[in-house]
This record gives sequence, C-alpha cells and structure tokens, in this order.
Amino acid sequence: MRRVLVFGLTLLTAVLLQTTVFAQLKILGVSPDLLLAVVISFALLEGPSAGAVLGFAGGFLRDLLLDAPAGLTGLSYLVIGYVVGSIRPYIGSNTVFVPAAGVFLGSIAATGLYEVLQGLFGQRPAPVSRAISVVLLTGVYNTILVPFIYPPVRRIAAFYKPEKVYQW
Amino acid sequence: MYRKSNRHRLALAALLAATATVVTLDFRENPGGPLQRAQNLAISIVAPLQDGIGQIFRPAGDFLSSLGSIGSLKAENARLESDLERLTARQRRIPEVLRENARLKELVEVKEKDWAAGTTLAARVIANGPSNHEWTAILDKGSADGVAGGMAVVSAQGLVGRVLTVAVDYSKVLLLIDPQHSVGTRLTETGETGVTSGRSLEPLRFEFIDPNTVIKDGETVVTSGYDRGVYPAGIPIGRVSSVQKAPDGLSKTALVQPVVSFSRLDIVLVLMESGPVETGAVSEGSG
Repeated sequence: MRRVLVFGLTLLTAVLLQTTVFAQLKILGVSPDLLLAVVISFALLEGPSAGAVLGFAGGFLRDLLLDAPAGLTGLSYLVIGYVVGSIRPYIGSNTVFVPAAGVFLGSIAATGLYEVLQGLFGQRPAPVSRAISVVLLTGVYNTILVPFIYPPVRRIAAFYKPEKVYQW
Repeated sequence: MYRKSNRHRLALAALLAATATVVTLDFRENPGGPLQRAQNLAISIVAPLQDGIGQIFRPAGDFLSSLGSIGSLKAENARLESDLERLTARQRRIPEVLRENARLKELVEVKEKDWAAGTTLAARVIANGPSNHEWTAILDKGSADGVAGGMAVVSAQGLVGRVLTVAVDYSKVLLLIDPQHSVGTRLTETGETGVTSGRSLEPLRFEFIDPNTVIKDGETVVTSGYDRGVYPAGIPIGRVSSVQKAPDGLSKTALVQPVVSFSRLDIVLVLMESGPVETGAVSEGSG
C-alpha cells in the first residue's frame, strides 16, 4: 500500500514540476516531458504491469488538467509503459545506455502515438512540421533528463520493493 | 513464467477497457458530467500545489525561460544575456512585492483604456498548461470571485485569451496563441475585418482579408467585437509582420506578431462584463 502511495506521489510531483518549472523551459518551443520520462523509468525497473498502471495513472491525471479529449494521454502512456516493461527483460545489458535508449525511444513512441490519437479524434490540427519537432525534441530533451530522473526513480523503486513472491 | 505474463496481459486489458470508458464518457457527457467534475476537482487540488511550487521556483523558472532563446541569433543572445544579468541583479535588489506592485500599476493604467472599461478582476498566472500541444494558463481566481467561462482576459499590452473552465478558486485560460483559439479582428488603418487564429509559437494568422486592402507592415490589429460578443471591440492583439495573398487570389492573409509576451505572463485582468451573449437575451431583444 505504501508502495502505491509513494509511486503515486512521484507521478504527482512530476506533473507539478512539469506545469511550473518545466513549462518555462521551452527550447525551440518544446519542453521536456518529465512525467513520461518518469513513467518509462518505472516501466524499465518494474515491468509491464507496473509500467502500464503508472502510465495510465500519470497520463489520466494529466488528461484531467488538459482541454484535449480525456484518456488520450492515459492511453498512449499506458501502451508505452507496457511495451517498454515487456521489452526490458530481453535486453541483457545493464549499462547506462539502457535507460537512455529506453527513454529516448519510449518518449518518441509515446508522443508520436499521442499525436496520432489526437489527429484521429480531430483535435487541434497542428502542422505536421510542428508535430514532428515536438516528437523528436521531446525524445532528445527527455534523454538529457535521464541522469536526473532514472537514479532517483530507481532508488524509490528499490526502497519500496514488494516482498518477493515466487509463483512458478 | 506463463502465468506471470498472462497476469500482465490481464492488467493491460483492464486498463485499456478503463481508457475506452474514459474516452467514451468524455465524448458523450453533458456539461457538469462526472468527468468534468473530476477535472474541476483535479484543478482545485493541483492548483494550490502548483502555486506553491511556482513561488519557490520562480527565479529558477525565469532563468530557464531565458535559456529557451539560445536557438536564436547571436546578437539576440548577447542582448538576452545582458538582460538576464541585469534582471537577476535587479531581482536580487528588489523584492518580489515591488515587481508585482509595478505590474498592478500598469494594469491600473490599462483600466483607463476603452477596451478595459467596466468591471475587471486582477488575477495572477500560477501555472502553464501541462503539454506541448495546448497553450493554457491557470489563474488564481475562480467562480467564487465571479469568473465565468468565456470571459476575456487581457494584460497591460493587449489580449491574452479567454476563460475556458472554472473551478471554485481557479480558472483555466485558453491563450491567444493556441491553435484552437480564433477571434474576429480588425486592421486599425483600413478597418478591414477577418479572423485571427493562433499557431503555437509561430505568428498568428489573420485570414480572409479583402484582397484589395493595402496592409502596412507593423499595422496594429485589434479585436473587431463581432465575435458573438466574446471579446469587446478594440483590444490590441498584435502587429502585422508580413502579408501573403491566398493562392486563389480571393483574400489576403497577414501574419501577426502578438503584443503580449506569453512566456512571461504574470498579472492579468479578467474583463468581468465580457463573455458569450446568452441566446435567451438575444431572442428577448428581437421579440
């Protein structure tokens, strides 16, 4: 239970920092997506179920603060959380490149998916060039944030690890 | 191992079902439905926290927003750097209160302009929208202070946007530069009217201008007041930066640089007497 609370607070903190501090940090008109980077870090550490749940929770919280159709951020983050969490066990390496590449590719995929969903729902027709720059720059900025996000998330996840249950 | 991955799939399926429910609810619900109540609740809970964090990180945020201009010209960089030094030096000397005081004085002067006549309410911008896709701002005044959806929001320079949703103590403003935002506008020199839409960080597009109109660079664009009464007439919006002719030759389009600096919004005025005209009142007047 404490684990759920702490993970939830981590997501809330990410949303708060996103809307206050990071909203000001717009380079070339795009700011990093702190929340997404946190979700992907959790997915890398905790696996597909946790990735999907936290992606959905964080995305839904953000949807509530947005004017766009509710549920689209939740959907794109939950899919990416699940996919990133599912792929992680197949990658043998334990170097710093894993979270960096995971956050980079995951951010691009999630932001791209969100752009597509938004297009399908006929919301806010952004010019294609703008959509592409948002997707790519979000990937780059989030990767730059990895050294600041991944270690604290790993510490939180390790500290609140559930007791090991062997099921098979 | 098999059971474990099965469990993951079950979780995924449950969450996807939840998402589908939320999206459907959002599309089908009437104003005041459960999801909208959840959204208002979320703003009411998150806004005070944003306010606190915003206060703490304001100096850091100001610094970061200066960093955002690195992509532009070297000369501008040098100017920004000297500005930044000057500003941070000044910031150390002058307390936050004095700065706010100056803004408020500026707004008092605005009050003397025609377009800000009537009852106004000063509000502080406490947070920005949470994504790169929409351009909104959260104000620290809500329905308890009399703010209602559709009211116009201005700063000392000109139009900021309109109120989108209102919680008890907070409200959300759709900014002029959001692609969803469009407003009826008029050129001040010729009086020609058209519609101006936001395009994120790019200049606004002033469309459907008569092709024979002579448009000067730097000409001021103001609200026309025809926008079903949402905005009073004459609120400055921006200056014409360039003019294009539509491919069919039937109209002209002007690119307009907004007068309000949207990265540095602080104190704004809500025009309490603006907002959409009630349809009931219209039919009453004609009958």
